[in-house]
Amino acid sequence: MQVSEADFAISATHRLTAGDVVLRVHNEGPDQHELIVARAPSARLPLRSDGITVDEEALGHAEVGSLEPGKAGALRELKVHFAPGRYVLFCNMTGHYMGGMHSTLVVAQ
Amino acid sequence: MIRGAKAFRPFAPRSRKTIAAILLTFALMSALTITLSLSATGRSQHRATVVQVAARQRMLATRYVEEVLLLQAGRHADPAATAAILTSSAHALLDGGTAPAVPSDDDDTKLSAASGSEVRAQLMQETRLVADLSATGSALLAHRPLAQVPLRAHEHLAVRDPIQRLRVLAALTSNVSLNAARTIAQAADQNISNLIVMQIGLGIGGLLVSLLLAWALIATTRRQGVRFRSLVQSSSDLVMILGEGGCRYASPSMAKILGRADADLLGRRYEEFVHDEDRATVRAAAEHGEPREISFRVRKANGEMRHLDALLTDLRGDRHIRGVVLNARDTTERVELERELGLQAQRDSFSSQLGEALEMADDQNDAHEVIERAMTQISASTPMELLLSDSSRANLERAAISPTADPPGCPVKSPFSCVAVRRGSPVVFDSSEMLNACPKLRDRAGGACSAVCVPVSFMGRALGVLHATGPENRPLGKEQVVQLTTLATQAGARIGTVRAFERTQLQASTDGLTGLVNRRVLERELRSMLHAGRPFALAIADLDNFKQLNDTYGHAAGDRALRQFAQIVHSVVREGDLVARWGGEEFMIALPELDCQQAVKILERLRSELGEAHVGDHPRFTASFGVTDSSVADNFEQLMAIADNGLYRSKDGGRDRVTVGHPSIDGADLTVVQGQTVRTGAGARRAPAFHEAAEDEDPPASGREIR
Repeated sequence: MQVSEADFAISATHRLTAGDVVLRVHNEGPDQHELIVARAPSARLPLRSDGITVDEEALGHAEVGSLEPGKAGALRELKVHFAPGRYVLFCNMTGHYMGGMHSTLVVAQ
Repeated sequence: MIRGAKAFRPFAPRSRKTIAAILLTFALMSALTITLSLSATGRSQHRATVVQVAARQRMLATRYVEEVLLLQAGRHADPAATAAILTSSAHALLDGGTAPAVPSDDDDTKLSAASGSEVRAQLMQETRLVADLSATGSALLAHRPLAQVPLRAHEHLAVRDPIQRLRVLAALTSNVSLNAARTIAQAADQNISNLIVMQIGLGIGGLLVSLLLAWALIATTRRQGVRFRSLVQSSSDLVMILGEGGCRYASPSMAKILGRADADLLGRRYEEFVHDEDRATVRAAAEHGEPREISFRVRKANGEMRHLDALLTDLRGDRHIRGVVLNARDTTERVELERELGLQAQRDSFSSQLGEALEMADDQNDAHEVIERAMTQISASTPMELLLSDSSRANLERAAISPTADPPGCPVKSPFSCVAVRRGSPVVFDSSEMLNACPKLRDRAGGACSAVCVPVSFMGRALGVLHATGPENRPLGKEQVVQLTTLATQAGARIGTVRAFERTQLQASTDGLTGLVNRRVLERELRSMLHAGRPFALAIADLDNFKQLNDTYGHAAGDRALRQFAQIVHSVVREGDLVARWGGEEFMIALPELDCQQAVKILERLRSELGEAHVGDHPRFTASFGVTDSSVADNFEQLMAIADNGLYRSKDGGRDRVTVGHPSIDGADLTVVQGQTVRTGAGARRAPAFHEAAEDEDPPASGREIR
């Protein structure tokens, strides 16, 4: 599954069949970006007290995979087991989630 | 030499180039490292400044939001100024320029344009976000709808709350500023890492190059050492280093000259192989300090002597040598040749002088004297003698002995009893006691001895032997044997020549029939004796009735009578008396040191012998004698006349008698001989016989008239 990150958007497919999926994550820059995959009913994720960044602790087990910040131009892979459900792919570097860097994914049976 | 070819310089200091190359490499490497370090340090300082400014943008973005909120709440704040600093700094970070000072915080900062695509993209994004932030802030303060503010950094802001929207933009600006600062810092780290790697590389490279050059230096030094060793070892020059503890080095050629192994020479002191007499010379030269050339002798292991010319150089102060370097050449052949030439010159000189001296010797006695002087010159202390054969060549007689030493006393009697004469070559006996020594050397008065015997010959005929003796086992040296041989050769030649000459002379002055000297010789002798005042008696003899004998029995019988008379005269007179055939049947007898009366006695004995002699195929014959002596006459002619007077008076008196001649032919003079009265006087005198003889010097075999 191809995932493209750029300032400030994540482009990826929105539908997927359940199972183990390798996400090929390409950071097109110019800033550094991370990728967090969390199971969530909607794209509105809980925020920390700063009101800007997603509260990853609150997500708990909902977070199914993540990549640390990668430099512009980096191409990385993330292996994720997708159970059927709704997922949100987002970058949680300060302001990036709020700046629009999130994408939803529906995993079907 | 081939043009352009490098000359062979075995000891050229090639290592200097190598050492210079090593130093140059170190200098280049060090300069490069320092330059790189300075450059990298400069860049790192600049990057630190850039990082500081980039990081300051984070703080300014947050401050801008706070100042907008403060101003909105009616407090005093100047967000526009902060936005201006933010914008100017963002541009300065991207394209270079001055980042303005934050009041009461820092100063203006000059920056270079950012390099590297990643950081430049981030800074451009920062510029866009700063613009979006300041535009949003301005719209908020101006109460304009924020949704209408164009966002150029591709933000997709879902939040509607203006302040939240401003905070998100500030967070994005802050985040990108942070990441840009990180990227710059990482680039600085990378640069430092590169610098470290490069310096390590330079260090390793320099080390390798230095090791390579050092290896080249060692190889060159080793090559030079090998070359030096090869040159020294293959050189015919003899090299030795004498240190405090003896020999420290000896070249193979030196070891060969000394007849020892190289290792055997090490540690040995020069006294062990330098000739005793030359040690002081070597010591003086070694301690002289300055290089000095000397000549000395060394003794080989087998005792043989060699002559060396050497240059001694004192290098005891040189820590590489620590000794006296001896550089020598073997001059033995040259020295021996010079010695041989010197000896040859001495031999030639001796031979030449001897030849001249012998040439001046008129007779054998003179020659013997020369030989004796030569013996002294060869060796004054050596007993020497010259044994020569007599006229029969059957007996050896001692002709000359060394005047300064006892005669060796060789008992050899005959030339051919001498081994040297038989061999015809010199013989040297080391000891008279050896089995093969000449038996005549044994039992000498002086005990055991050595001997040299050199044959003396002339025209291939043995004349005798030159004999010298010495202490046992120490015979005369080679050179003295050579001189003895020269002496024997030249003495043989001269004595042979003198003898031949004397024989020829004798033959020329001898009567062929009787072997007696002729009247010319006798006359010369008599005149000489008269002149010298030497007293003598003179007799004239004449065979009686010789003509009759000839006529009756033939000339052969007459000749036999003449020969017999001559033999009988010889048997009666003394050695040293002179007998001559005067002519025909007339003879003269000179008796030195005798007077008339003494002569008469001898003549009477002669007359008696004649009467008893066996006569063979001819009858007995008698002779008449006239006698006088040198006291009665002043000259030869007078003397002859007086003797002749005696003879004629004997004839007149009846023959077969002896009559003393009278100086006066006029007065009566009676001489009683054998009881007979012999009358002499005038009228009885006829012409003196010698006058007749003078007319007939070479008498016919038939002789003269016999009365």
